[in-house]
Amino acid sequence: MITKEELQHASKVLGREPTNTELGMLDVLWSEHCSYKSSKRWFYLFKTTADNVALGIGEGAGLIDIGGGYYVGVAMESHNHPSQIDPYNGAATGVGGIIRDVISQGCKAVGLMNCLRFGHLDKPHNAYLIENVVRGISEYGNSVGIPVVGGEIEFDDSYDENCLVNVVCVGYVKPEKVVRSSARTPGHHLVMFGSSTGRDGIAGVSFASETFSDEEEENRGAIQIGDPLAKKVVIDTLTELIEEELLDGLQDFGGGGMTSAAGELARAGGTGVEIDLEKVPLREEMDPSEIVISESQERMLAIVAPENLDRVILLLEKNDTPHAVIGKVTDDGHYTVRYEGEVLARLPISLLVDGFPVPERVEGKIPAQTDSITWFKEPEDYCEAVLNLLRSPNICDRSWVYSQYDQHVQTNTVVDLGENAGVLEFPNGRLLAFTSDCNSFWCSLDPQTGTANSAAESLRNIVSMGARPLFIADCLNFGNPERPESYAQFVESVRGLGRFSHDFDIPIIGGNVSLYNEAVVDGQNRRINPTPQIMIAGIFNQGFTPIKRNLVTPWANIFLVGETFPDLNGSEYQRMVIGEVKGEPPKYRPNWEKRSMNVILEAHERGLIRSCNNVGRGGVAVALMKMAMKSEYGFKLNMDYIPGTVNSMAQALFSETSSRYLAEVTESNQPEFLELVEKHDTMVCELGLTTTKPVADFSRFSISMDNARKAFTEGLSRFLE
Amino acid sequence: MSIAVIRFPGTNNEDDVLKALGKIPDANPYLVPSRKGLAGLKDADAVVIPGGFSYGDYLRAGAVASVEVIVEGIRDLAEDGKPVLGICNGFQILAEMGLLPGVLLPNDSSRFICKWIYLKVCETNSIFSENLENAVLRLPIAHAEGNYFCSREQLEALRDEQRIPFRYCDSHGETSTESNPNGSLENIAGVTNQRGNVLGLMPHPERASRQILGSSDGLLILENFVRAIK
Amino acid sequence: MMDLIYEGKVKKVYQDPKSPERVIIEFTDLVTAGDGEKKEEIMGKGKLTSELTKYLLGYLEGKGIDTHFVKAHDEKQILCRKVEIYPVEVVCRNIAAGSFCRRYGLEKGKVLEEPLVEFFVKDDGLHDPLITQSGIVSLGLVSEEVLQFMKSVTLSVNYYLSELLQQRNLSLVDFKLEFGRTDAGHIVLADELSGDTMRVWDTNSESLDKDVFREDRGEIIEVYAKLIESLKESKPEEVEDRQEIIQVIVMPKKGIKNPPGEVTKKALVRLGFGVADDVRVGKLFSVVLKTPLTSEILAQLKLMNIKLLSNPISENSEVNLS
Repeated sequence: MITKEELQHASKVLGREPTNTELGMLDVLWSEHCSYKSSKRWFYLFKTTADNVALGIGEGAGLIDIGGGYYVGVAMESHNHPSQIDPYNGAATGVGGIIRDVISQGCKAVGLMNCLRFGHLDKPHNAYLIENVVRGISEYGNSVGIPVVGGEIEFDDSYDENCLVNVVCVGYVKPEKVVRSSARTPGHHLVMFGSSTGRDGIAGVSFASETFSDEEEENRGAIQIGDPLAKKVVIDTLTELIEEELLDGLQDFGGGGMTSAAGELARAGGTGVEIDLEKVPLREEMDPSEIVISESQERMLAIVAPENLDRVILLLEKNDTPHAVIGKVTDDGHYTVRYEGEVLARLPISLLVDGFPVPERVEGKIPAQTDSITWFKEPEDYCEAVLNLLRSPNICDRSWVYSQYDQHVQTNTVVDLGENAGVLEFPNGRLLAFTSDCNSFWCSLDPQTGTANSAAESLRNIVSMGARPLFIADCLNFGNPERPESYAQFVESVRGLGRFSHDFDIPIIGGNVSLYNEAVVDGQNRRINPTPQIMIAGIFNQGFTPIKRNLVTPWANIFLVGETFPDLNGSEYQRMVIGEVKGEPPKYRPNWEKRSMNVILEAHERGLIRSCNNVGRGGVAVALMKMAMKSEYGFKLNMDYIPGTVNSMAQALFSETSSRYLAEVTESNQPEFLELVEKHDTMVCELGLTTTKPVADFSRFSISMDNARKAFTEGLSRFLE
Repeated sequence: MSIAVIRFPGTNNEDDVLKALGKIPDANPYLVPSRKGLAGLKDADAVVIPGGFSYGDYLRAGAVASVEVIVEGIRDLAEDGKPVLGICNGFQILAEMGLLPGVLLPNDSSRFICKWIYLKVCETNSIFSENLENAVLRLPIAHAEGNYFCSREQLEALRDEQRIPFRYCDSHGETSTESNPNGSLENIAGVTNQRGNVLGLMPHPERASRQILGSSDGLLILENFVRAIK
Repeated sequence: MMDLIYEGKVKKVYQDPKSPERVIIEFTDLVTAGDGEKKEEIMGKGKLTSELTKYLLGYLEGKGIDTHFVKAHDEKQILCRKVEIYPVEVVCRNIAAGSFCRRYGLEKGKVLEEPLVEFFVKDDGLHDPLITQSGIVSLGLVSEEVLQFMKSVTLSVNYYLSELLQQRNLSLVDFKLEFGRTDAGHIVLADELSGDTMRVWDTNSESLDKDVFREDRGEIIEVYAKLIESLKESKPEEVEDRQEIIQVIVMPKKGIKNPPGEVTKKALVRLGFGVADDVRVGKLFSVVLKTPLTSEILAQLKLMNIKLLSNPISENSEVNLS
């Protein structure tokens, strides 16, 4: 809801009280979700430029040149609050929205990702949420025909009242076909097309910019309903319109509906708009003030030059797409809304889109953590400990989820889900890898370090396959910015991601911020873990076949690259043993991270690595087990020498120190591999060998792969149908 | 010769099928939007109905598409003996049309399932499975309603007339409950009509047409299809 | 000389010599009440009841309701389709009056919240007793489907008659309908629609129907003439079409596996509803018709059920009119 200060400010600038319609428009555009009023001021910390960035943050999708006459585009968004209330439609329309962002830049959408957070599944409500979120994403994405190529899920009590649904869409476009989200020429027509407009999602963004109230009925009004069949028709129609270069500008109707779509087009173009609401195709009777903020799905707004209008209308009719010419671009710098001739709103674009008073936000103090591990003790039964980790919902097999997603439609999928990253082939023959990560437990203990390390984890996922990082997109999910401690978590996280982007020289070209993920339950404040979701895309050298993480040769060496320290605080092992996380999480070590990365990348280039995995959640134990999980081989380890300062087997197995990789290297390639390690001045040890028996032999204990697979696959499926 | 590849509103595999068929010499696949009606099939020597969600699967998978005008043209072509291939949603449409016996019910798990499966090539007097006796093919499936069901009489006829060319199996070619991804009757993944020129198949051969995607076994089925067009 | 097929208390039904599928119904000048106890012959009465019937049935036909009415024949006669009359009378009440008040001790004139449809067995010997819907089906008087059809059309007739009378500031208190079946199997509205078979009150709750005869409160000729005159001033085209909703229920056949049902049952059990033994999931289509239900429309809908709404191999479909 618009605050008193904001209302006063608006009245002052206008020189009068805002009308009812104007209030509605200001309410949506000045909401946190649309205006980024609490977060924008920190984005200067990000690295956002690079030679190959064709279009950075600001429009629907970020675009990067991948050569051969193609740009790859990416957009990332959150749809958290609606998914908590109506998980099926919330998730489905989240997917719908992100697709629209990418296609509104002129791209063909070729891949989807989703990053989810829920409370623990032993609570039936969380099982209900995940089942319906997954079904919503599945039914929408599968129907539209875009494959899911990546994603991740994490579980924690902090998400009980605020589940998270972050979505990514990637696509490609030829440079000459890019459509910009701006209205540059006064006199051009505003043409809306796609579905008709109804009451759904009225003030959805306003709803997303508040914490949940105890009154469920209040929350219920803001739900949007998706229609993938309509979306597919819009996509087909848009393809024709873009092919013939008929559109001067394009924006999708997303958060904030028509107010946001036309407002941002005008702001970007330095122009104004005037709209006649009676021209808008409606699904039901609506008040004009509702039409202008409705968030009905599957609608697009195009800027069309007069000479192209007839052809555009013809194509829209041929495709049976509802459409209307609703207004035009003006040169008066205002957003004018009329209904049957009566002016209902006339706001300066500058006021509407950026003119909100910047709210004061206080960055509180993050409580300091100690790095003591006095809680740590060796497990009584190592086998059980490893199996329990494999069974943990934060580590286990996720095929219950991703087998519901079509991964192969469009026949570009080179690597399926279930590996470290999904890989798609692009029309210029290049392969790109996509992955996303966030360890919210690390972030809850130290938001800056946790964020930077989460980004590093994402990086390690694509590097382990042999790809070089290309760009970052992020979705930052945090609590209530009006509360100093929550705000501090956000700011620290931005610092962490900013550092990472500069340290590794990777541009951030797309992203989203979702704040207010807090709820009051029985008088208590419940806030989510700081959850900065970091998506990284990588590109493979021409002709390179991505390396997966499954052991493929018998009697090959398994090397551990990097040093291991007793980083047990913030680890999954700690969570398992004492039921919570505390202490300082694993440090972010950019220099060592780079060295390991360079070893692995160069080793891949020379074809020295047969399979590779990065070490992350669950430490070396879990990373090794995952390499054997889908393999016909097992391994036998000798853990006598591990570089670093760990002094027990359990520390070595479960520490989550950063900058480490496991590589399967055949005997003949060993010398060259070790040379590379030396060249890049990093540490390595030979952990053991691959064997032909399906047994994970840690020397002091061993686990049959049958038991391991059983634990791994039942992790999620034991809670779900 | 040319192959009509039909697109209904909501079909989303038409490009994949065009790409895959395009690899086969002399196939000449071309896209026919369903709204073109009978005129769209004028020059077709064969028809492929690709997968997807025609009409959003809103009523029953394939039901609304099966009553479109163009479908009568497909029926005529089939009666003329021309080859007709229905993949996934295409199979559902052929069954709703009655060109193939049986019905595709919701998967046992009641969820959409996407995974790689193995197909055993069974009877080989079908044009689609020629030269593939005892082959085990690796193809992906992606469907929510692939659970094949037909009456006892229909099943007997299918068996007697050797009209079940493909069944789900494991990597060694053994059909078993474990290797059945969706609960299909007797692991049936595809059936033909009496004349043998119409095949409905749930797995996607066009998605297994290049090694880089994980398998090119699907190309074998498509090549047989093209070869059968005289 | 026409063949007399049937003679009721105040009407005669003759075979149409020109067509075996038609009959000629003659409205006599007799008036009866109290189940035939009170009886009088009043000149001109037959002409008036036949005029009212012609007007009202014609009006209903215009709105899309199937009736047996073909055309006027004579001053006191109408030409109708020959039908087999169903042995059930349908009464619809908007306001409590007559026997209804006596039955339940209600005050005359009490407005009922919703139109109430009642059924009576058509049997003089038994004095047309009240019967429940289940009773009708149980005794095999008409099938469940025909019963629902009659009820649906009755409510439709209630709407159209009420709206028309409303234009003239008249209230439709209650009315009785009879239905018949043509040779072709169509169900049509039969019998008459006049002051004899309905109660109409003006704004002072004065009767414009047979109650004036029953209760000796006036001249029936005067009152019937007033009613028909008033109706002739009405504007049928201004009565808006009433939407009718039909439901089609599609369920998986017995013995067919129903995975969505199985999954739902397991989820219910998981949530603590362990008494659920079996759950089957079907679909419900709510079809809103632009015109009133007729046998023809119902037959077409059943065809649509087979062709599109259900898959006959694995599903059963059922039409629900109630």
